Amino acid sequence: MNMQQSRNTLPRTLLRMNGLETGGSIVFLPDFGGNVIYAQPIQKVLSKEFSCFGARLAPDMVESLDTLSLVEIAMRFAVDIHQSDIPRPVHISGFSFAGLLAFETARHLSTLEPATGELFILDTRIRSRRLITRFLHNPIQEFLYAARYAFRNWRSLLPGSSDPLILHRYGQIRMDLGKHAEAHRTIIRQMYAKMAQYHPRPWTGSATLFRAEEVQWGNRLDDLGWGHLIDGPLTLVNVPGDHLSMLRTAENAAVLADKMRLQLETIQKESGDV
Amino acid sequence: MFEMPIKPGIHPFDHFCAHLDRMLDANAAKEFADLANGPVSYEALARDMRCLGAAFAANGLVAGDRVLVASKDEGATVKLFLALLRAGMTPVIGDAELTGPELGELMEVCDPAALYADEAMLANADTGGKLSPSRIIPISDVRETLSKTPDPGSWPTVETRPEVALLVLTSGTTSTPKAVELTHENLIAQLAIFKDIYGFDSATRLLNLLPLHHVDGLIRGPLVALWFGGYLYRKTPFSVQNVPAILEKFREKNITHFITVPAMLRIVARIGCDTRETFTGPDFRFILCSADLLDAQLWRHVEETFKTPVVNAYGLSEVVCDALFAGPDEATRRIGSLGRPHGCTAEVLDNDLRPVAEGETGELVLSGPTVMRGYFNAPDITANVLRDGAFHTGDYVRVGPDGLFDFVGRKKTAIVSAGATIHPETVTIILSTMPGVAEAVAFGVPDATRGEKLVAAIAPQPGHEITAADASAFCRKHLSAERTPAEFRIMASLPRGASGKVLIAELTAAETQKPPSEPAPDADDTADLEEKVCAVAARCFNVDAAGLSAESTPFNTDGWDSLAHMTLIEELELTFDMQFSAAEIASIASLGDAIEFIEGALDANA
Repeated sequence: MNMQQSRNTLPRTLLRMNGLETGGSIVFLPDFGGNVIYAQPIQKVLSKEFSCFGARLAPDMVESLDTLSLVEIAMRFAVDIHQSDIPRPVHISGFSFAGLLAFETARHLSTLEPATGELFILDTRIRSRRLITRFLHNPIQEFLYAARYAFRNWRSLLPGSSDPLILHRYGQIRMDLGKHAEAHRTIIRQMYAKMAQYHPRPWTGSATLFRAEEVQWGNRLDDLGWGHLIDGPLTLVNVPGDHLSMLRTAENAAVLADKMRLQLETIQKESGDV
Repeated sequence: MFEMPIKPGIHPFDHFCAHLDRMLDANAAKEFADLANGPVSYEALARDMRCLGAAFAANGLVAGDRVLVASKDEGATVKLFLALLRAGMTPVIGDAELTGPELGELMEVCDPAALYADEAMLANADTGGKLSPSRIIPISDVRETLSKTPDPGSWPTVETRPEVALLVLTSGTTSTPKAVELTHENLIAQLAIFKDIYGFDSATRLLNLLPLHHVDGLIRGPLVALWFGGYLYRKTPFSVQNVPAILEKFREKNITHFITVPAMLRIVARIGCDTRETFTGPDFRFILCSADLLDAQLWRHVEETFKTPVVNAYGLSEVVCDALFAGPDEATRRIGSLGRPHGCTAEVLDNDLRPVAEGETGELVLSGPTVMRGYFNAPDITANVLRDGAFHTGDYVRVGPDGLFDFVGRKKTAIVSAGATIHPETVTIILSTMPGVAEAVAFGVPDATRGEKLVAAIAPQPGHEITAADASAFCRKHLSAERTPAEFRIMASLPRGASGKVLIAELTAAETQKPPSEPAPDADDTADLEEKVCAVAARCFNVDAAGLSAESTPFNTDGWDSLAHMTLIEELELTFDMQFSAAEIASIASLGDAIEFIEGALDANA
């Protein structure tokens, strides 16, 4: 019936984004809505040199989504990627929330196959879950975050007056479900809850972090919290735009895709040299 | 206090024409409308109307003749409608999507002296040989007339004043197609009421995308714009896909009023809630919703989301448009109510035609200058609803202590369960206020022991869980025992038709007996489904359907971005009248995936 079913080698969790069978693979992890459409502009640039795949929740995963943690979802992706015959090396990438899934998937994949590719994190900020640590680490930024959080959520902070269309837990990004079709809201709520419960652990692998240059007032263009988690080399790459426009604006997305291609070429060259 | 603006001794038709001429002259330098097929200025409108007037006369049409218009050409339809009104002929605006055979049936209903229709419609229509070929005019001839005819500069003299201004097609409270006869006095009265209540004036800029064969699209569209010297926007046709583009027009075109119906408002609220500033521009006044029951949940949701007032109007074609108004005046506004009457007298009568006490339920009976003359060629049906000049609406209401009217139910949907008469709409209204309920509807089904029983279908809001026991407990708090539904069905969403109305018949059928199962779709059915899905996708992505197939994905298809993906899912749900599960949504990565899930849903329904 469809392209995915016609390719027997692909598990249900993987979607082929282009027809290339060589050049190494880039697997994009799904966002809150469960899809990888955000990767469209990157895939367009890279599709002639790399095999691009999207990871998605298989129907059996969605049915039991309530019981699955973010780590367990990532483990399933890692196992399926490992068991598939997609071209190696496999690079893992994710934007925003998908960056967390990408991190966990890369971590588990590295335990299954040592020669894994690069982890690309696209503007995902990770905060320590310990409030004191956050204040001690960056008091001004945390104070501003807390003030902004209180300002934006003062209504829902009052007892009995929550807005069901706003998802915003302290320390996490704010999601306005009003911006999403009703049909997507269930899965977004579930994924958001998983993000809020997620406890990241350090990893010895390497990663490239693409940071949106335009940050909110009071924020610094730092390592978005990844320096504490990634023990291997962490490459920081700045890209134009803010968190949303870095991919939604065609010009910005083209710059990001180009920088990702350059980084992949560098990695390939380095691995060739080795 | 409402006063008819017609001076004594002046015939309503003369008053009507004089006012139209004044508006056309006074606003010659202004834009009149942006219609689906282009902009129209007042100057061009005046000229085109006069040209059409001359063409009517040349074709032997005289005042009082009924003229049926059915065309997808919106510009031609609007100009014909206004020109016919001004020339004293009686326009009958048919559905632009009519098939040829339907057009033939419509001619039986309104017996026109002339027919203007699209060529494709005429090619398949059986006009019964009643009209001479010169009176069956392809719509392309109108365009030719307007491009070639010089401006006659004046209107032909009307020898005999017409009795009927407009025929409005309606099935009303029965399934029999009828044509409501509205007089010039009816129209003038309604327009004067609009001025009193809505404050329409020459600064009024309407966005009204309702169909022109719908009285709310026709009267509150081109006629109101012209009558008040205002502006009408109709350029972007209403569709789920177009909602974001339409919402941009409110600020771009300095729109003052959004004319809509609940089904359309529900879609706007669902899709447009990320542009909450849409209605907060300096010019915008309010959303005007009519033609169907506006449930309190939707009303409150729209006002809170968009920070703009919603005015609910109650009316029927038989009283032109609106008779009761909830807003914009705060004194008439209670969310969930119908407000109070203006320009007419509204009585609440029992079965013996005696007024009921305050708070008691009775039939709404309207009298006043907007009440129709009758149904065309249907004296028996007219006599049933029009008694001593008062129109018996067939709708049950009650008046609250605040003097505002509340809708209770319709005669035709009332059920009798164990001897008690129940109006399901009342129960729907109560259920719609239950916390966590996204939408609800109550309806009657046959029952062996009670004769009929009340069943309610409820769709919870995302993230909320509602059980039948919760719903029953809530109803018992707010309703008497006999009006509490005997059974509850908790559903992901209520089935809705293309117009957005809840498909009660579908719910009823599901409760009573399954229709005979149809044979499983064969290969041709699947091919047909793929074609339909591709057609929907082509509209969503703004691409040629020929380039789409089951293999199409966001990564090999232009236009399939995140927004288009959401639109696609919503359009598919609306088109195929089904709802994807969360699992399916997460799995849709190609049109083939969507086809597979739709097929499954259609099989399950069969």
